[in-house]
Amino acid sequence: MSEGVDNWGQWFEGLRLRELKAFEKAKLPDKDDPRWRWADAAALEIPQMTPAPIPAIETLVLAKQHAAELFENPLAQIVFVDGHLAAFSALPEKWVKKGVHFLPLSQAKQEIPALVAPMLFQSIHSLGGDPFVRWHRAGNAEGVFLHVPKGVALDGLLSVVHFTHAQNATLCPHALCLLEENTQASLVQSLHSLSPSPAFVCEETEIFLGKNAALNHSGIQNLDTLVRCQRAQAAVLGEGARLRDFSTQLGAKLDRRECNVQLAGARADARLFSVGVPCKGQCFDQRTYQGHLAPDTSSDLFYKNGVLAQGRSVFSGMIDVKPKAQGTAAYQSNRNLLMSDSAQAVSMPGLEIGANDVKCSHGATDAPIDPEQLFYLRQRGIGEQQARALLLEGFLTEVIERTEMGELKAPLQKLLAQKLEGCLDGR
Amino acid sequence: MKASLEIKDLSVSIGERPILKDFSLTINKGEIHALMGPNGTGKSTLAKALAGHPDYTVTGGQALMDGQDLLALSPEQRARWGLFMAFQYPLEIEGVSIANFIRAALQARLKEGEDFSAGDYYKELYAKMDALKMDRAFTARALNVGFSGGEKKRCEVLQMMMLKPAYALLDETDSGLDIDALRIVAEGVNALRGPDFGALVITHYQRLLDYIVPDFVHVMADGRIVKSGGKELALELEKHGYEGIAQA
Ligand SMILES: Nc1ncnc2c1ncn2[C@@H]1O[C@H](COP(=O)(O)OP(=O)(O)OP(=O)(O)O)[C@@H](O)[C@H]1O
Ligand SMILES: [Mg+2]
Repeated sequence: MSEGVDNWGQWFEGLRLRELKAFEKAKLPDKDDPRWRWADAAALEIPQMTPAPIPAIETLVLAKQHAAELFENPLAQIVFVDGHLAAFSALPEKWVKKGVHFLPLSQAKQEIPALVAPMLFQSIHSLGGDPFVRWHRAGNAEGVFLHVPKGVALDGLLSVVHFTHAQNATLCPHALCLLEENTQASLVQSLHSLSPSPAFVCEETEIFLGKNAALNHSGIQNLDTLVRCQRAQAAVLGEGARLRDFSTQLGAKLDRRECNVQLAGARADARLFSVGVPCKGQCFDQRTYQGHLAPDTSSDLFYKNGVLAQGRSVFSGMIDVKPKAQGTAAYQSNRNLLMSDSAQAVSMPGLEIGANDVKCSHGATDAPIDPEQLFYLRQRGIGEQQARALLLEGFLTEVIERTEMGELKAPLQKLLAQKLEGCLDGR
Repeated sequence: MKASLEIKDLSVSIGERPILKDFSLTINKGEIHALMGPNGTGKSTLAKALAGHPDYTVTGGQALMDGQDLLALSPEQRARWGLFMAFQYPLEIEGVSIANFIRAALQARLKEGEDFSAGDYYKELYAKMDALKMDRAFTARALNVGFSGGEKKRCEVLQMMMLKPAYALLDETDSGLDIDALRIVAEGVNALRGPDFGALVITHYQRLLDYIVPDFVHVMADGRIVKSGGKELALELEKHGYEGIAQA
């Protein structure tokens, strides 16, 4: 496919048009589809595509400043506002020399099209969001292209930040990650807002891990509460590949996130983590798939939500062990802490086992704050609101610790504290 | 103002069931009282009701701390006023480290404009842990999660030593402790002993009272004190049991 193409611009445009056709033919999401069970009605609507204009220079500068405060010394960082490039601090020369690519997607399409083309838009999304993915691909998909060639192990954090800004903008953040054999990388994708305006964020993340590749991937969603968010992520893991995936949901009015993992090679291993804190009027909806296609693969999903008053969380997960996947170990656990009588959590764990030699378990628990724990903290002089916040933070900390992504701990705790300050006050 | 914790005719129910019945006891600052009694007589109920546990309804009587109405306050206010309860069964709090927990408790006591020095805090914390022979690695561990019975009790005493209450209710802090730990923990309590500290030590074992020598010993049965005396009362109990006491 890549050889002999003399106009890559046209080639990518052809790809986009095919996706547009697919979108026009696609069956739109509907509430009778089990994959949309318990979803908010608003989550089913596909809005008009309305890309935002290029932001003013002050806005871009502001975005750059905010992004700089997020993480300590990332190895490289790309910042977008409404899908337009705001800042790009490129990889140090050392890594470029080794053949690593970490670029805005549009730039990669121009500079290294033959590398991008074979894998772009190749992911399959089976969890209900496919029409949105087509819409995303047909629209202004922009984001990051990461390629780590054979044998290279990156030792720092790669960061991509998307900000929403303009009223009613539609954003299509995209990430395409290709890790070849025996590689290592850490990528964090963050979604934030520069202004309190409604927007629609429609994201696709594509992850392909070669033999023994290891990726730490995290997503931090801290959008303004007027923003609606629809996200689809698909990862394919080759032999011995390792994925650590960690999602944080704090902002947005409605955030649906689909996470699809295919353990395609023997001994591939996926650890999936998530923390979410939906508060008043927010709904976080997660759909996951742990597909075991090869022998001796393992996956472990650990998702926790601390649901505040009038917040809502939905979790639907599926472990699917194919007949060939003997020796599979697959776990799935969704735990929700209900911080109020008006907090709501829906949990639908699922399991389908086609092999006989497997270790599998799944479970879901919903529990209110333990009044005995609350009393214990208050007996020490800690006020009720603060005691509740401490218990919630502690509940979520277990996940953060288990991710072993130490570099995210401090930034996350800061965001979490900010969120709780805003939500637990004045109740 | 009286420097005492004064419990007058206190009656407490759990749900519809009366547990404490016109219970009276005055603990002056500088005194240590031991409270003994068979299982289920209401010793923990007394401690929890004084600390403000929401499940325990006060149906009559009073509790005054230095002349102030304790029962009108929230649990956290009582704690900040200087009341500490070491739990018979300390709770496990996942994800909250001991260091952060005690720090939050201390910060909750800061007055307007007061500063908190993290450096001084850790210095003091480590010194107290050393005194209690607790490994410093404990500071980073989640509060009581996976602690042995004895470790939990030591951790209660550590909290008390850091928070420096005016009055402490120690609910079976000796249970689960090995002999060395018993001595160490008792030393911790004795370190607080003085004219500004009063304590109620709830225990089943006279052995603790060899280390924390009480000024008074009270025996409780069916929701009230049935006998009071000096340290020798505990020895008598050891010999004759509660039934012997009730008959005497
Ligand atoms: N939360 C509760 N709900 C119902 N009953 C309770 C509750 N807490 C205590 N009780 C009952 O109240 C009575 C007194 O209990 P309490 O814990 O005060 O006894 P205690 O003297 O501390 O006993 P022990 O020596 O075994 O610790 C017991 O019969 C107990 O079963
Ligand atoms: Mg008791």
